Amino acid sequence: MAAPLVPREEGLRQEGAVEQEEEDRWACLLPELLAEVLRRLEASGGERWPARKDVVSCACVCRRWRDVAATVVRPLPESGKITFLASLKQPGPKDFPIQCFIKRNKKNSLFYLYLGLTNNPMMPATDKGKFLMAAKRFRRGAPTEYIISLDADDISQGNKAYVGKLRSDFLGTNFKIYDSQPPYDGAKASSTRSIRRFGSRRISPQVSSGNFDVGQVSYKYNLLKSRGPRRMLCTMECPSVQETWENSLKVMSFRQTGSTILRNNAPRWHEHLQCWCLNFHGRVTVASVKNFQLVATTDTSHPDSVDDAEIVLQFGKVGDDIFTMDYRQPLSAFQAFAICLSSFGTKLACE
Amino acid sequence: MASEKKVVFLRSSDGEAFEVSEEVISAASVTIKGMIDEESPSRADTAATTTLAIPNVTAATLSRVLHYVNKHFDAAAVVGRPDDYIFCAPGDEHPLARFDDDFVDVDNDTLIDLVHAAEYLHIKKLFDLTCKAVADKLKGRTIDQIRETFGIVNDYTVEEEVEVYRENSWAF
Repeated sequence: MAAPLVPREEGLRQEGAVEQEEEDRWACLLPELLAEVLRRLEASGGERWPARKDVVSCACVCRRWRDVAATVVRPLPESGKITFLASLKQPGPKDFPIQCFIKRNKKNSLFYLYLGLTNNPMMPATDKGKFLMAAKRFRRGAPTEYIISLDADDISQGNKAYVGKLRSDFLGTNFKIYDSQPPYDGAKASSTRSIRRFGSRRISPQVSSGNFDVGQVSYKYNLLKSRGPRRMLCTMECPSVQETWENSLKVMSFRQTGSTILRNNAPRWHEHLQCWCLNFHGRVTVASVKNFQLVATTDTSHPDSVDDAEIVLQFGKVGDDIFTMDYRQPLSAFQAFAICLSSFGTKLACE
Repeated sequence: MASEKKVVFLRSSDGEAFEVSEEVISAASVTIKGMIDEESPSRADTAATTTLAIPNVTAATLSRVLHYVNKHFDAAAVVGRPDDYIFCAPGDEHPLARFDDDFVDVDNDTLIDLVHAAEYLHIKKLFDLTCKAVADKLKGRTIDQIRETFGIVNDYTVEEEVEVYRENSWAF
């Protein structure tokens, strides 16, 4: 790496060259060695937040380091760990749920999604969590819109922090979920305003302010207003899990995988307690009409056949303004959050 | 040290020779053990000493490496001499933990030399120790601090920079 020396001012230049060489040795550290260092960084505390930010910092230092970090940190479906921004739109792990919680600020119509950091399933108030996303509710006449952003202090559709939105219909019983990024290579945007790709493919190809229709949530209409349990049906454009994810920094999937249909587990009427009950395995402690469990189903005509299917999203109340959100494959954190937000909306027609 | 011990000489890239017990260095370094095994048929069984060229490691680094190797791999030295335990604090899981901490408490360039030497000589324990030490230097640092500490140039394009900044501010 040493630059050729010019005879004039040789001494001075040589010194400079040596210094340059010393510095380059770190930037040019063999990828295998750097990978070993990053593995140890991850192993010595970096597996969990907040120390995991050290792994992110290293991945941000320069291109070479970023490439190496992508080989060390496996994508979310494999590693089961949220690391980079891309993790928010990659499917969760298959075998266990990612445990998150949502804090609500009623006064400002704000919702904050955090990754739970303690193992306590009861999610004590002491868990500070790792901030993942925030959403703000905007009422535009009758339809409601929730803008989802990475920046809790600047939630708007126009900036870099925008990740997507949830929009209700006139009655507030049907919601559409829009992603700022295409769900698969070549997806068409629902609204085509200022879609622009960056030339480099090193970083996940970025599309600013695109809105891609990635799913919908419907609540079953109940004309009689009997206070029974809600019926939910979600049709999601889920990121493909079978296709190998290129790396932990990449968001997009290579092709369309078709829709995944999710519906809620029907609660049972408990004669003794005189209420509707569902087993949340200790993760939900406060009765609420908002609580739900979603399971994947292939056959929508037999809703009762899904009883023992795996729960891919569970949402429920644990305190005045705090809710747990546990999700897994095929949903991403962003999709799970959007579905949960739909449960917050007032749906006069179906409660 | 009553018994006769075979020694080998290691010649650093800048020509300095270091004496080390064959048994100790063979236990420590896979690379040197391989070199010795290769040499052995041509060696006389007794008097002749072997000199091995270590072209990738300087004298300064090699002497540090041998210091480490003698501490860690010469069982007689560790167990036999009570004064080694001055390094051992109550609660240390390893009697040489304190020694190890001091050993890697060096400037960045010395540390990277040690990483490279440990890798080249294939001394796993030393490689683990030095990589861990580099990892510790990265802990709790901002991107700019890491770049400054290790003299790394930011080579992102403007667009990439925006994305990296977004990711990094989200992580904190």
